Amino acid sequence: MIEDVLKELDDRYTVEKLKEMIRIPSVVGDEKELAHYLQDELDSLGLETELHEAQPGRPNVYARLAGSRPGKRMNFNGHMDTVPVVDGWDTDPFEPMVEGNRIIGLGSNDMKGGIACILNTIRAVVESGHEFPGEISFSGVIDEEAYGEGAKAMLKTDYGKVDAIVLAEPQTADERKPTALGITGKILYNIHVRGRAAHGFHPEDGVNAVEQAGVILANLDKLRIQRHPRFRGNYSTLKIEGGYERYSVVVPAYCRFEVNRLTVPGETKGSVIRDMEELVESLGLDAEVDVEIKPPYYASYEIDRDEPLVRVFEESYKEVLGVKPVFEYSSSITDANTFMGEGGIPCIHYGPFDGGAHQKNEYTLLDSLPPVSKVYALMVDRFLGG
Amino acid sequence: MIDDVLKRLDDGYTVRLSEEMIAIPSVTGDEEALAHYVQEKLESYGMETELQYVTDGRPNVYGVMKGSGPGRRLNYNAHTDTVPAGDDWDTDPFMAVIRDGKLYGRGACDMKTGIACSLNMFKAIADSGIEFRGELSFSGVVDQEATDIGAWAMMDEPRWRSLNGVVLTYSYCGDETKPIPLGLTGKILYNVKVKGRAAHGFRPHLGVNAVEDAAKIIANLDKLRLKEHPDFGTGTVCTLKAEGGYTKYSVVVPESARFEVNRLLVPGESIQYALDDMERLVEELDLESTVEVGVKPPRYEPYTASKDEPLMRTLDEVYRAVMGRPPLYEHAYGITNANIFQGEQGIECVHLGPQRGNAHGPNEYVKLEWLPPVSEMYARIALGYLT
Repeated sequence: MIEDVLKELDDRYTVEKLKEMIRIPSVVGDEKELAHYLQDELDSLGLETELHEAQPGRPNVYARLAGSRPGKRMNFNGHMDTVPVVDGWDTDPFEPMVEGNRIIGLGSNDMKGGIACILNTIRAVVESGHEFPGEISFSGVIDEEAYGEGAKAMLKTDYGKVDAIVLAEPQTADERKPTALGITGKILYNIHVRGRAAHGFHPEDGVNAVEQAGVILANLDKLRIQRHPRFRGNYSTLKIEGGYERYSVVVPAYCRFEVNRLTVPGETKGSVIRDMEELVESLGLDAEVDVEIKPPYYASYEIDRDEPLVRVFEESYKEVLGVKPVFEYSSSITDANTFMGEGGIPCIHYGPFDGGAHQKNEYTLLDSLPPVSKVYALMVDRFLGG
Repeated sequence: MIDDVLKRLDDGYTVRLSEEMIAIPSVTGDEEALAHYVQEKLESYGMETELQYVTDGRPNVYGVMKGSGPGRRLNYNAHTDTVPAGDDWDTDPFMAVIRDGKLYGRGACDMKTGIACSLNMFKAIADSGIEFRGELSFSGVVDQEATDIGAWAMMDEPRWRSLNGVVLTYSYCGDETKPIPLGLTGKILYNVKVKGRAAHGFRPHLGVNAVEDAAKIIANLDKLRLKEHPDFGTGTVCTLKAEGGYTKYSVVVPESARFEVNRLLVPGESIQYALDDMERLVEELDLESTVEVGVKPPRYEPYTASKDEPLMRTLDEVYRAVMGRPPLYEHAYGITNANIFQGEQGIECVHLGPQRGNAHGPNEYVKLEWLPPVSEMYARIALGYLT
């Protein structure tokens, strides 16, 4: 019975787990210790756990709780990594500090708070002896704050075949932080321009790669960007480098630049490469231009309002919080771009309050934690069925 | 008598000094040992010598031979530095090798044999005891292959600033490989700094992209107003470098970018004109970024020479007499220390030296056949100009 699960929810357990996790630094690249901690905890709850090296020395952690009969598979996901410590913290970022309704610490909302809420829900399901069909699972992934390698690796495992993923990102689905029903994609163009060297006093004898790159950059406003009713694509040049290392008066033979582009549903890796190649071709340059892309790449996605996962979330949220969730179409990349954009797995984001993620004195609100575990529990019940 | 000088010219001596100097590496920054070597030679001819330390361990070297009465003051100028040896040599770049009438080594043509030919001349004039008026001197300056701090330091000295003429012993040999310059372009190195405004790279409309604004300037450089000069034509424009954006990957609208553009100037275009021209171009583009147009060293004023000036006339006559043909001349797209001596200071300059081979590349060489006529022309020019 779901009521038994709700009764078993223990918000002191959530806070205790959150504090323990804040004390385990897991700055991106260094997720291993936290992965072991989570494996131990999930083991002790009786789940079948597994460490999976997503990158050398950087494991994802997976855990599953099988239901009493076949059914759908629902995964709760959190990324274990945090951003590095920025300057200006007033407290030790790795020592949780409670001040009134706030708990301060690196990762408190992004996203150890959300992981703690998941643990609470899973614990309550186990302790209550709740019967359900299918499977409830947990995934803790690495590298979300960098290249999303953890999510990409997970997609290739059996956990990449689940029917839904709930990401415990700090999106409260209210006016403060609407939750994403879709996210733009992102591609990083890496463009090599190859000209021909000559003495710099006689530029007509060469082909100036820097100047040819300049012509492309000056015409980026002609890059084809698809229109979309709910998303806006755009581009931004991130870097250019070309010309001498040690001063010499030589026509540069090579230049390279990078352009970030946000893509909308309907645009693919192939189509955006073609967009750039067609732009370059239209300019009639003398240099040779190679349009490549560099990681990280993220596909865009959009989830249908009528998708069961969305409906289940909406109902559960309304039941717990008394209001409807607020949705948006976002341009902030998460692992859902990988799970749904690439893997086609329906995703929803919901988690505790975002008190300055990526900033000094990151915190979350203690009273934002209990409803999250409760909503998760109701979603399990509604999505998997009784 | 000039014949007495000419017969004392010793081409074996020139070759020997060239070999010794090639064995003293003097890559830009490391000119001190060669300066000491040259100073000793000049002293051995009875000249007054001086080292002028331009920076720590980097001296210009000077030597002066006084004439018997007042008159013009002529200097033979060379740079003592070479470019680095680089790769792909068939021989040791710092060990002179003579093969098939060519002498190989780093600095062979640029410009240790030029120095050797002038030392040969100084020795012959000193040994002959010939009388001349005014003053005959040598200058070997540092840093020509970089930013010319040596030539600039030389011009800080009133005694050198007041010279009447300078023979630059560079490899302008007066044939189609390197005609004698009738003036040189000037040059400016624009250093353009573009300041935009950072923003998250997913929200470019909230920032101002400095790299993209820099590119707009670069893509419009053809709108610089290059003046036409009747002899030179127009100068040239060449972007040498561009840099901007993240060092460690992050999706941020770059708030700064920088690029450098080399521009050759023709007479009629001053450095100030070139600066104003770039500022006008930038203004017309109406960018959101703030753009600072600066210059970086080195910079050089252009100049034109006249065939009617005394040193140029002397060179023309001597060249015809020794080489049996008139020299070829051109208004050259190039930069030498004459841009500083004549372009900045108004001292009449001529260029003359042995023909170059693979300058700045591997297997740099000079043809030995060029050394005797060059020494002879140096001597005839000195005595012609100072008598």
